[in-house]
Amino acid sequence: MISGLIWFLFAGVSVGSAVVVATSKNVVHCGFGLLFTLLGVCAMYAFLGADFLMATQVIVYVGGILVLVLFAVMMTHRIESNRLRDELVQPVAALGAAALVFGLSMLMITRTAWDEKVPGEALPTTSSFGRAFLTDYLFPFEFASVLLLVAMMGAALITREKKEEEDQ
Amino acid sequence: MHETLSNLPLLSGLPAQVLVVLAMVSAGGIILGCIAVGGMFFIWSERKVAGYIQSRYGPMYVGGWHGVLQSLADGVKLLLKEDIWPEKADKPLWRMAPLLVFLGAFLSFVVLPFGPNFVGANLDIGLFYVMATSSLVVMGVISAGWGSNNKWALYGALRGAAQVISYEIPLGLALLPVVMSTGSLNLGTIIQAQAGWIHNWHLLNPLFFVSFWIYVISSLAEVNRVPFDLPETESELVSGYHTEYTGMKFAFFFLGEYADMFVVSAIGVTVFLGGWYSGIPALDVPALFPLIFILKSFFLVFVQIWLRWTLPRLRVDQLMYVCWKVFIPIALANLLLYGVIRTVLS
Amino acid sequence: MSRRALEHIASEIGADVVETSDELGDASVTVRPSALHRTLEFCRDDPRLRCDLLLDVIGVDYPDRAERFDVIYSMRSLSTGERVRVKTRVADGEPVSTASDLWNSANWAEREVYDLYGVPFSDHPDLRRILTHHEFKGHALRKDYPIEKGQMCYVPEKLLTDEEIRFGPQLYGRTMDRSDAVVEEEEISSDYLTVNLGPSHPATHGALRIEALLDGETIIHSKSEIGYLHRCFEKESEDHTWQQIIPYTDRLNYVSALTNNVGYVLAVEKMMAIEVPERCQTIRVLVAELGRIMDHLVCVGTNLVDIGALTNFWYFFNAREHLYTVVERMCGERLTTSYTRIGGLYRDLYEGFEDELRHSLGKVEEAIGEVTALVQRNRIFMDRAVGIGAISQEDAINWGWTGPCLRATGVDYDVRKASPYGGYETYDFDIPVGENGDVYDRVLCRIEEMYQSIGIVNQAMDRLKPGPIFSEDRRVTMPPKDEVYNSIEGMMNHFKLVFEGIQVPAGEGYGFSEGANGELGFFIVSDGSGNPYRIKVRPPCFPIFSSFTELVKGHMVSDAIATLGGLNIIAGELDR
Repeated sequence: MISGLIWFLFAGVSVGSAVVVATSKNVVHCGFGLLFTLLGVCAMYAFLGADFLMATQVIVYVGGILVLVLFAVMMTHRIESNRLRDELVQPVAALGAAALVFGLSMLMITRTAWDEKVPGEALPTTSSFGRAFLTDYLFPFEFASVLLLVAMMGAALITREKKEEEDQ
Repeated sequence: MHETLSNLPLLSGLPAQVLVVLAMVSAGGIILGCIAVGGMFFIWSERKVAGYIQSRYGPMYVGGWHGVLQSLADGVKLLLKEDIWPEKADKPLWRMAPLLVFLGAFLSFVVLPFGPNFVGANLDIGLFYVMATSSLVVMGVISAGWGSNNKWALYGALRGAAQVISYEIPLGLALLPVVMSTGSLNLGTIIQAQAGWIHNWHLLNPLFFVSFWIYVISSLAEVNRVPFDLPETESELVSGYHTEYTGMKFAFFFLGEYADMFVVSAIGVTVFLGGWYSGIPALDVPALFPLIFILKSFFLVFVQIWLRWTLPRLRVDQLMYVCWKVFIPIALANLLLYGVIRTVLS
Repeated sequence: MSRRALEHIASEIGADVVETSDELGDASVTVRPSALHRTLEFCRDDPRLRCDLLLDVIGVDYPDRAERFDVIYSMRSLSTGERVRVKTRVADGEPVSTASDLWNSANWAEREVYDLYGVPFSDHPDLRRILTHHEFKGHALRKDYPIEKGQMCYVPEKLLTDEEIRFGPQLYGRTMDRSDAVVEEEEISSDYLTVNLGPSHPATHGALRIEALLDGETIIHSKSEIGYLHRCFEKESEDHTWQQIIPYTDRLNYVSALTNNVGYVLAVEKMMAIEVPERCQTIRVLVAELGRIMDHLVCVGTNLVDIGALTNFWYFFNAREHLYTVVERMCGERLTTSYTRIGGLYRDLYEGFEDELRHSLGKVEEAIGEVTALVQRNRIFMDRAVGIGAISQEDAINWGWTGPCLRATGVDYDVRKASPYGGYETYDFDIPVGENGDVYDRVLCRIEEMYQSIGIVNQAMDRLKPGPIFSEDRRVTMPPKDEVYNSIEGMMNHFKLVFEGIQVPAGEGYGFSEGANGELGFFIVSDGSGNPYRIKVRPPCFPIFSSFTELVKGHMVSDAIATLGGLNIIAGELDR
């Protein structure tokens, strides 16, 4: 019962802050709303016994991506006055897209035959992750790494070119 | 822990679920108490060490012996202070920031292994978990800098965030060889790999020795200590991201900072300095484990304090240079070398 | 020597020379306003004069004259040692052609004359008020401005103009995407951030303000504002007797008050041609050097704090505390010493002074040794200080730098050697010079100067012999009591000195000494009464700080702060 309560608490946090992300007109508030959504999802992982995934979620999404997003937002010129627009078209389109995604997810959730597990002592998952990455999924794993590397080099190249222009 | 509670005569009649809640609350309370008392102790010792280094006394009056209760008095003072906030602050973010910073430190404390059976949560991913919680501190710093609506605070926050996410990389890379060696991220397992005489400590392995120094230096940057105290830089950014905070909100930043100092030191002790083992098998009795662990961590905290009162600080570009062009290549080479050696030897 | 200089100028300028004088050894020439710029250029460029250092621009108000104002350019040559003053007389509102194209140091100095006297300078690049508030009405140093009249000004000055904020980079030789730079909603749009450093910021060590335009952390443009600590030293001086001004000199460079005390009385004594006894001279040298040591201790200590090395500050302040104990026993005060008197000293040294001072100097040397060990070869400190805020010798002279900051560039100009006063020629000491004129050299120069000053103090203590500390000259010294009680002359003398104060003969003169920051000059105009007609201080850090904007352009904020600390800007001296 207690764990159920806590589960609903975290689920509420995720959904509530997701609503803030969607409705707030202040970009920075959206960013911080996303923080709590991600943390809520992270708690869901913990309930599922996916400890490695949980920590990765925090490191990658909170420590990496969200920080970068906020960085970009804060460095953008006069962000305070750039209120997000709310014309009628956008909510309608967004609602449509959201409904589509929701429907597809529901379809998938109901159609899939899930392994039913009793939540109990969570088993360590890290080593199985490691094995899987370096054996069965080696190619996708390496492919993703190379892709990220290329992206990084591209970013470095773009900034450098800009700097040279400035120097001239 | 709730099983332990149910064995107590007073509580034996209570339903299990109440006991679980009780256990959670008391565990949180114990950690909170540890952070508060530990933090106050570190603040006091920082002032005493600084005083000693600078040929002065530091606090001498409150609490009788050498001002031991000075931090407590300061805490009370901060509690009673008026809570001033900037009129144009972004209130939600501004209020949230000290909590996020403190939460980061608090969550890390949960996994610190003071002894084989003396750990809040013996997570399989302990090391990884500690790295993850520091992300919350970054968010707190950003939130403080933005919420204050102050240019200096914003500069401090940007510096802080850039610095912490940069130095997380060499920090993580420095820990990896040890993880490869022990084959586990569990802090307890890493310590158990260093049992026995002192030569089993990871510090005394040449490659791990390199890792250790990278770890120690990067951890200084991670907790914003001199020579990497750029987010605060009193002489440049007035007080950096917490310029606008007063009273208890400021105290939370302060306490969080000192708790973080202890956390990085404790992780350093766990990974490189043999954790709760003394290095002499005869002394390794379970009752002494927490004491040994804490003493070693204090020593690393002392080193941080010592450095703060000795060195000047770097400039922000030099800080980034050191991270990206010195530590990361060395740490990567070290990791590669260890991998090669290990593969060849096995 | 000054006579020859005057002949050169007279032969070049010809009929535009109104009058010449070589009073007190300084060449002084008065020219018509139309010939001013030509004369100044001649003084700067003529190989026989080569007045490369513009010390100061001075205004004097004579309300009864048709050409009401004197504007005086005071120059000095580092190579020939020539000191020349070029003077011109202008009526109220008549413009003077600027010299800021000849010397950068003229920029702020002329602004000061404009601010306090209302003399306009034609073609001046930035003619704004400098010491008083931009809303201030009237010109405070004019004789018809009542001394009690205060004004309340509220709105802070906006230093960077909208134009500069918007197009800052173009103005300063960088390109930028212009499409961003449009005015939206009456707000200025810029890719750059403006920040205010000061007036109350931990790094400004006193009240001054720098508004900087930042690209990331790089300063692409900045402007400084001073005057927050303007306490009307010069106006007050005109309302006090000569002796009463001494306490005010404490509050110029309050870090080395003793050196200021000595500098002021030397200037007045020069006007009156007073010789002080040997013991008095020796003690003055001694206390002036003590002041210099204390000043350098503070400057280096706080500069290191700005770079983040806190402990050095305590080492130096502990040492300074030992010196302060001696100073306190010597004259009863720690900070505001007022130790000298015109014609002598407030009182003689106390018994046991030498032992205590030697002990304190030992502590100072110990502290310097400790700090040197901590920073001299410290990699982080060198990274932060070497090559930061560097300036070339030519630029430094052009900006009017003197003192340790100039010597750090390699110019060995020190008033104590260049034109010795008070017996400095008999002491054995060296002038430390640097090479690059950066923060690192400034710190090391000051550290070495402290060693040299300790040497001078030790020599002075060795030659201290019992003797009088006051001049016998009755114009400045109270007659002995039996004369006062028993003779009418003595009685009159006493009465005059008490009621009217010292009478300095009419005339003008420039007395200068080596202050802790550089050449500390007092330009004095006396009308023969008991009060000065005009005293103009030449504060060494005023021209130094005027170059700050140029010094930090393109540097990062952290570097600017390291530079600011190394320049040793003392707001009391800067604003007077």
